[in-house]
Amino acid sequence: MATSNAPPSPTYVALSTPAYHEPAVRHNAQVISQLRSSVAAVLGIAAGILNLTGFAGFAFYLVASVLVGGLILALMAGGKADVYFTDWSGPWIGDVGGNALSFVLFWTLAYSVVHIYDL
Amino acid sequence: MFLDPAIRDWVLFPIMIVMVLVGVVRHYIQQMLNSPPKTNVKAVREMQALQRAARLRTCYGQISPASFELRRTKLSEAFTEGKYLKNPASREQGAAPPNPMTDPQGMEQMMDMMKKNMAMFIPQTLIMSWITFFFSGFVALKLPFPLTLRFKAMLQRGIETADMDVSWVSSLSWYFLNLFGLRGIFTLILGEENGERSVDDIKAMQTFSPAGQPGAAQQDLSKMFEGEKELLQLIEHSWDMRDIEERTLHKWVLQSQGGRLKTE
Repeated sequence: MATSNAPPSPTYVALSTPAYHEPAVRHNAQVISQLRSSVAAVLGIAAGILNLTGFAGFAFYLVASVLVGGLILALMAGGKADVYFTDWSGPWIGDVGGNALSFVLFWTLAYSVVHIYDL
Repeated sequence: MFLDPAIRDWVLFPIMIVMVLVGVVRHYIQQMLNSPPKTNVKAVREMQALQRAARLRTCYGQISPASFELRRTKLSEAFTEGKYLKNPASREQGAAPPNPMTDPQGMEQMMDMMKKNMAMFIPQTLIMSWITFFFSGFVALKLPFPLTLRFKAMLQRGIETADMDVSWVSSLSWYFLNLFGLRGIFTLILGEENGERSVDDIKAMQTFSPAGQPGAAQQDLSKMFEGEKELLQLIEHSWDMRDIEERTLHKWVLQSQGGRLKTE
């Protein structure tokens, strides 16, 4: 009685890897890369104006970038990273290292212009 | 210590503006020099055959076992016979790889690469000599982070003050900051496919990747076909649609019973 009419035990087959549309993946990466470039520049100017020097500036960049990554995930991807990105780190830290030099450039610029030059 | 605002107005900003403008001009010059890559039908077919095998290898779960077997047999046969090779004759000769120097297509690729490199290096050298000629011998800005003494010789060239902190740097360091930092800005104003990428091209060329090394791809293709064939043979096919009736029914029963399995 206990198991006679139970539905047949499911034989879940592992599905093959999910198929991503390649142009869409490329487009997403491009959107993220553009966003990261502008964010790096804006963060650099912010760090310079705030008079952050040394380690504090780099920490500011890292923390703020991860926060922006969270915003990307929440607002642009609606919290569903696996739908829009092929790997989980894409929205969080993708392109952060590549744009670090942009950050340094604008950081140096804003820091020098605001705090170093005589008015 | 403060710096003269004239340095900011006549050194810092001009260098940055000039570098952005030169980057834009170089982008358009490169677009002008760019000739569309010439290929022939056989070369395209060769690459497409490889890609098709790779696609079959990754997406095989979506077709039925019969269709998969058919495709696998067909592709393996074709790869063994070298049916899709650009010049099947080269396979019989075996040990003689084609010389990239004599291949007209390889020649053209190398010319393209050279043109790109020229467009990359000439403006950079010009800007660098412009800066060292006009803007050397004084401190132009302060970096907001400390550096070790090793950088002093490089970043403070032409400034003869032994005791000054390393983070006070000359205009040449501002040039280098711009050179590396503006790359992200160029992607913003010029789009993804801009000339700044050619640095990556050079790196790819140095690491001997088939894409960057002109002429290297041809000699490997028959071996790539062989490898692809072996990978195809290794696949153990499992279909996404296997037992789909049972799985669907099971899911439907679960839902209709409020997620709980009842046994009567």
